[in-house]
Amino acid sequence: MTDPQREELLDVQMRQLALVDRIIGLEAEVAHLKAGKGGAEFRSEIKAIKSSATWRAGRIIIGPLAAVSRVLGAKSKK
Amino acid sequence: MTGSPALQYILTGFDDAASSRFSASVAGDTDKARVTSMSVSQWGTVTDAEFVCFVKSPGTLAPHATSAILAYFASHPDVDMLFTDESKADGRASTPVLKPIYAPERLRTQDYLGDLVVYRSSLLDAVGGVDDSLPGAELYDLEMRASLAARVVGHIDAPLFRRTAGPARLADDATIKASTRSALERRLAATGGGEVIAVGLDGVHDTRRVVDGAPLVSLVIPSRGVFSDINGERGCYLLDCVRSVMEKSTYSNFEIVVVLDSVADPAVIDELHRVVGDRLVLAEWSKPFNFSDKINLGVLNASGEYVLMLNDDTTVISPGWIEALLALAQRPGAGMSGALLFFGDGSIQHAGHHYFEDDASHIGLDAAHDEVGPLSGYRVEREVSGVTAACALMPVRVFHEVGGLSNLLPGNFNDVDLCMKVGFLGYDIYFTPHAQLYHYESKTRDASVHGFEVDVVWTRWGPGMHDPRFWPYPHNRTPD
Repeated sequence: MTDPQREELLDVQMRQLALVDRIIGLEAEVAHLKAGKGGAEFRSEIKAIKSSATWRAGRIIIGPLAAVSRVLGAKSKK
Repeated sequence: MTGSPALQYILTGFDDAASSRFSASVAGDTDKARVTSMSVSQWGTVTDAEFVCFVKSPGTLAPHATSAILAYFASHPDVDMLFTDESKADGRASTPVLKPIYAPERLRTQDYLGDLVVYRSSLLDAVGGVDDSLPGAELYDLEMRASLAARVVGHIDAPLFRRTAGPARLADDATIKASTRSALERRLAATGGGEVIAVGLDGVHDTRRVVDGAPLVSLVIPSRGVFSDINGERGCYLLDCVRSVMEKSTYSNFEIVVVLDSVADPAVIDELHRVVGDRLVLAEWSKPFNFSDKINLGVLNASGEYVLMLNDDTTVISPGWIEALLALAQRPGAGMSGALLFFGDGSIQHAGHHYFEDDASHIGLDAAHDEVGPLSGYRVEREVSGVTAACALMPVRVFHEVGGLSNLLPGNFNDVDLCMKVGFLGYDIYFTPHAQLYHYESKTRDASVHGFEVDVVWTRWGPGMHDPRFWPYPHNRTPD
């Protein structure tokens, strides 16, 4: 448990789980908004979600995290 | 009436008076239906109708039930088989008998489709009709075989039939039991295998799936790892939990991953090593309380193909608990399976989740230990909308696919959200009464519900918080 590289990998994996959780949560919200609202209103909701700070921050974070995970994952298997 | 009727009712084992009463109840739809009383094995000789309905119990149809059934088929052209809710005569009053939708696992534990099951004739032809080598269980056998061949099995959630007596007995008890066992064995063999443990004359049967192989199961237990007052004596829930797992479990290929707070008592850690031995994996949690992240950390430290989330305030009752949960989690398309939990006083704490009109509750909550619940629901393996994470088993790949437990929900509703995610991605969730544990609910954490937790779940899932598919009752247990 004290291996710093292992700790770092676990931290990245925890963040990945959280990001997948957020994506599914947003998909679920979109699904029931889509089911309950008309086309124009739905597109407006999507636009609002995509311009939100949460969405943009997620897009910024998920790319580098995936790259870090790949690098650390490859190292830990060596 | 001349020509072929759309729907042929076949009354099985009715006396003349009961047949007359049933025929009279079809009165409004006589241009669409014909009624015949006969042995089930003779059906093929008398009908050229498009739909056939075998009626098992004496009773009467609701007004225009035939029209409703035919209208349903007309608007659902892919439905090959249909059953309806019904009511049971209680003196002059009636008690509704509400049913879940077609649930394949439940059907092999219980003949719950009821008295009014309607088939397309083409489906009956495709499955070879009634098998008269199973006297007394022909119709249950037919339901189980036909439902596997049907494109869709439909359900009308309206009481179209009023039962006035129990099903006609078409054979003696021993014959019925033997026939039912054969029918169940046939069903299990056709759907991945399993065992018939016991056949009940009440229509409720103990059949079980069997574990495929012996995959490693990782029990993940988050805990503070401290001693506390338990019924007036110094004890440790975590140690009681792992001792019960080690002493009672018959499944042997498991490890125990304990996610311990930094404040854990060293004596607890020593005892964990002594009790669990080399199956123990320890992970340290040094951040503020977040049940979801503690579970997630535990799963990331686990090596198993399956993860079994377990609260530290539980103890095992049934030795075969892991097998029961695992066999269901190995079903094709399964995402999760959950257990029957009891409070310390023996009353039921959990027999599945119930999401009804925006409320989430435990099926069976506070029911007496031996209560069986509506339609014997507490005591049969069945499909559910969700289960508590206090004891739930799932494939690790599904856990990762849904992003684990949401750390937006540190204390409450994280399991509701998890089940919603599992269902949202199309996986099935099962409950088994054959995995039984005590759950001394919330003895080791603060159970207060926070507003933000409610907001997260209801914002995400909205309409999903009403799901009567598998538990169609407005109450979570039989009303007093």
